[in-house]
Amino acid sequence: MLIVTAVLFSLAAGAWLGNQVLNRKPALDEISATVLDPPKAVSDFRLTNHRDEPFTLDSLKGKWSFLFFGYTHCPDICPTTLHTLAQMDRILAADPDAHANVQVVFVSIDPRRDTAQQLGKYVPYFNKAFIGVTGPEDEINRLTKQLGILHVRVEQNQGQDYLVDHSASVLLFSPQGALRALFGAPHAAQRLAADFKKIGQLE
Amino acid sequence: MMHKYCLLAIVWLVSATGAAQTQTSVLRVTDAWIRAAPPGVGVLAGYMTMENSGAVDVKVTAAESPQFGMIELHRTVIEDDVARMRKQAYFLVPAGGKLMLAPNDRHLMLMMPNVPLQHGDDVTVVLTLDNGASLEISAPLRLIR
Repeated sequence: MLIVTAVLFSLAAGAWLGNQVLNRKPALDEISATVLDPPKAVSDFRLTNHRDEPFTLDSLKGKWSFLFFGYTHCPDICPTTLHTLAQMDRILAADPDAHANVQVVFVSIDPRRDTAQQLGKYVPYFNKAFIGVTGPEDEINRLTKQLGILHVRVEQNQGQDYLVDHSASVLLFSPQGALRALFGAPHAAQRLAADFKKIGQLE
Repeated sequence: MMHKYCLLAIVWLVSATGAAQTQTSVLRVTDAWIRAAPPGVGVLAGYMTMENSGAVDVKVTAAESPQFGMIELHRTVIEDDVARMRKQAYFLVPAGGKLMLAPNDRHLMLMMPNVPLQHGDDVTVVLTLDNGASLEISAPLRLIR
């Protein structure tokens, strides 16, 4: 009897201690995103936003940044993901202070066709605050290679047209401009928002 | 057996008349919609649910629209987190079953719009079936289903 009581007591104590830890910081296995611990530092790049202003590593600093890589000639996964990110943004807007500290960035992996002007028509359609980014191919590659973002052109209709196979992950950068987490596709707005709040509590 | 002949007769009737026979066709399309896109975007995706009440599989082999220069059948496959979009020769709707065209999966890829389209507009799409019949549907442009 004594042993059973002792076991029960230690189990209860363990659960209590566990809860205390969880109350301070969420465990990584509670987050469906892959969290990078420590965050991965990224070296500088020189790109352009859809207002034709420079977009560099500094542009990722001071805010949490969600990055998605795609192209405007992509009819399915890119608008689907941008729409999901817009839904996530509406969920995050319930907390105005936290929301003011978030930006969503769509980086083109098809800079041949996606000019800043083209992105200016495309990206704000999903949310006026979203930022479209493009630039010279080698600068796009400088960023994507560091992040493990793949993009491969695939010719269609005897070379008259092409599609681009590309990574479907959404990447989260910390306000220090380091890669903090990767969200695998398919994306859901509720899960992105919930994971983001938990990742914020890790800091 | 009798039942099977009736269905064959219906399919024959539809193929004989050629044009849209949504009432008598064994293929029924519901929840058709096209993802609205910003002005100037030349490639859109169309989604729908296809139900086949017949006793034989039906393949959708082509699609066209008076509002678009070209429509292809496509499928997005996400493998090792890379999204690949591939042209499909057909969409197979199994006998007595259904097939969903949905975001991040099978879809119609509508290219080269003839007229500027915006949110709320209806797009007419004619699906060609392997039994010789065709089916005309209407799909509104929406942000979400």
